Amino acid sequence: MSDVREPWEAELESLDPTLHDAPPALGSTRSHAILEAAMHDTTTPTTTPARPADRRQLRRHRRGTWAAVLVGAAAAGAVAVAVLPGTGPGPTPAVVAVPAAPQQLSDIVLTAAQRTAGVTSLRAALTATGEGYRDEATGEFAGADSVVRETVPGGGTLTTTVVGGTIYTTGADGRTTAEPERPADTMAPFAEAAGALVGAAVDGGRAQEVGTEVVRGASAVHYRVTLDDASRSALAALGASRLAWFDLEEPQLATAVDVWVGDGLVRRIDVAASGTTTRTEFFDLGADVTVTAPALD
Amino acid sequence: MQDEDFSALYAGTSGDVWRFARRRTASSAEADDVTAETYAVAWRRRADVPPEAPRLWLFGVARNVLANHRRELSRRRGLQVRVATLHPTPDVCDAPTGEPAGSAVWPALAALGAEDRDLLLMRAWDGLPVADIAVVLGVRAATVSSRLHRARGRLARELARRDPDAAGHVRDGHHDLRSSW
Repeated sequence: MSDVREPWEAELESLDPTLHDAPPALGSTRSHAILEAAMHDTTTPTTTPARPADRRQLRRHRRGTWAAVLVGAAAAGAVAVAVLPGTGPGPTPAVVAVPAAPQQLSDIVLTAAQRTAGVTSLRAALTATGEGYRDEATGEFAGADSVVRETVPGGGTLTTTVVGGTIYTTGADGRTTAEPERPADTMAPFAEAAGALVGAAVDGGRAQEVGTEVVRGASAVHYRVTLDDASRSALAALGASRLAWFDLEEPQLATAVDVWVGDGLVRRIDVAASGTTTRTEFFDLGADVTVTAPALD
Repeated sequence: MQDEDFSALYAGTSGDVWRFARRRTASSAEADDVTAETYAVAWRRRADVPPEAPRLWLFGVARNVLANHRRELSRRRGLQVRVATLHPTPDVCDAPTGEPAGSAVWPALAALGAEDRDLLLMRAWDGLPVADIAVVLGVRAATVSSRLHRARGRLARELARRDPDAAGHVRDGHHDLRSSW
């Protein structure tokens, strides 16, 4: 993680060739020659099919939707609920409306986080929203095995499958490669990471109830956890193997974690950080999920 | 985009684009060529240049230009080998200017896959946050995060393998990382 610098990082930075080699100064002969060469082409401008990165850039113009959703949610009525002690993952609706004090709110979220961390099989929808772009993926998780299918902007699917300690990567071209998963590479189990994330956030942060909403067809109570330095430190302590599931490479940039709790389990997590919000929705918790290795080329 | 707008784009971004190119080429002259070609593409596609944050878009173009540049170099080397069948020029270059004597990082980095190197150097040299790397590569930030996490682990292991006691760095030769970017 960026907050724990390895010795080699400074050494690598010191090897940057541009520390000793500067670009041509604007207005210099070299700089002018580069610009002249570029603009020498007098052909009509072309609009080629956008590459993935281009499309993401273009989507920056359509920002604002995400903020509107959150503002709308915040304006919803405050209906406090408490979750009765659950019996584990699965369809166990047991929600009763009762008044809740701020500390109880944190306890509710924390309890849901702990229960969710114990789920060993589930499916999830993962969305990352940045400055005008939106990326989507789906995941299936069964113990240490997982498969994440990511829609690549511009077309195709990138699939990462982990089965029995082997990582299979299937590109948009359909080709699959495999490599052994080493301990240092291993991502934390998804549900455990989700529970740990919420637990760390709510442990140091301040939970506030936003309202009752519908998540994937089911009622869930929306809590917003405002982060402070203590909770950011708690998040950082989780390590990259957990935080990377939620685009939290730099937890010090996180501003808020929104959690939706339904039936005593976490149903959705939004993580807002500088420039990016990720939304993770959990479903089929406790369902029979089987992840199979793809065929190798 | 009018000429003056393109000139303003160039003035605002060419330093960063040149540095992006220089970090992936062997000389300033090559970086000049790659920068010129990058802006030539941008000029032809000026209707596509996103007005907000065009820098990452240009980095994406530069990556494609660099890939073409490497293919061209490879073809030339292949031709040279065919012409001079005896004692071909070794396919290596010096490490970056300023590499400290005894640096272990460079050869360890050379031992990694191209994708790992690309991620680690976009982070370390270009200073790009995960979200921006994701824009340049056209993948999710979560994908970059997990791949970066693994790349860092692989580099750390490679360093440990080369220097298990961390008792000093031994450089074991020259490596041209740029030739495989």
